[in-house]
Amino acid sequence: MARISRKAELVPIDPRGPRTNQAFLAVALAVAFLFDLRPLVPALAVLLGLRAAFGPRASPVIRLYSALIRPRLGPPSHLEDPRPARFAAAVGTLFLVASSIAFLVGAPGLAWVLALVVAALAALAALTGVCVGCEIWLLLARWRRVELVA
Amino acid sequence: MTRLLVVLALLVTVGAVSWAWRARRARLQRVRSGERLPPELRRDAARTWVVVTTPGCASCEPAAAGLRDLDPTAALVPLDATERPDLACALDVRAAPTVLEADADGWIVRRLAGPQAVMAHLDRR
Repeated sequence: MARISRKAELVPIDPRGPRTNQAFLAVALAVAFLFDLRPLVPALAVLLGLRAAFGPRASPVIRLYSALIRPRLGPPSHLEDPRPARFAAAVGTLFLVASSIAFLVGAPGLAWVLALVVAALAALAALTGVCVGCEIWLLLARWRRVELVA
Repeated sequence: MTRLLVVLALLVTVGAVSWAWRARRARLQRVRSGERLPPELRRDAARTWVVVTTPGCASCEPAAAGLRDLDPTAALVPLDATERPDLACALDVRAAPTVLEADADGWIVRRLAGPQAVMAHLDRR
C-alpha cells in the first residue's frame, strides 16, 4: 500500500492545480484578516494539511480545478515534480497551525503575522510561479542528490 | 481601515516582487545584439547548442536530450559552469541549464535560461 502511494506521489503534475490552490489560499486568508474571521485560519490549516498529507487529490480546490477549470484550458506547457509543492503545503500548514495556536493562547497579533506570511507567499506563487517552499525543497533535494521526476 | 491598509500594502509588495521577478526573467531570456560564442565553443555546424550545466542540475540532461531530439544535425556543446566559471560569467549565465543557440558563424540567436524556458521551447516544437 505504501509502495503504491509512493509511486502515485511521483507522477508529474499540472502546476496550474497547485497555483489555483495558492490563489484560493491567499484570497481566503486576506478575507479572514480583513473581517477578523479567526476560525477560517484553522479551517484552512486543515485543508492545506490534507493536501500536504495525501497529495493534490485530497485538496478540494485542486479537485474543483481539475473538474471545472482544467477541461476549459489547453494542456500545460510543462509538468512538475509533485514533491516540492507538497513540501511547500506542509510548511504552509505548519505556519497556519502555529497561527491557530497563537489565537488560542491569546496572541492575535502574532497569529495574523503568521497567517499573512502564508497569504503573501501563496499570492507570490500564484502570480509568478515562484514558490519559496518549493525552492527550499529543491535546495534540500540538490543537497541530498534526489532525482526529480519532471 | 487599518486592516484594509495592511492588505493593500501586502498586495503592493507582492505585486512589486512579482514585477521585479518577471522583469529579471525577461532580461535573462533576452539576447544582446552582437553577442557571439567564444571561439572555443564554436563548432562547424549550421546550428550550435551550448548547454550550460552544473553538477547538481537534475533537469540539464533531459534538456540536452530534448535538444538532441529536436535537431540531430546541430552541434551540442556541454559546458560545466563550475569547471569554466570564466566562460559562464562571460556568457552571463545565471541559471542551469542555460541554452545558447548560435548560428553557423557563432552569433547567438536564442537564449533559454532555466529549465522551464528550455522545456517550454522544446514543447513548442
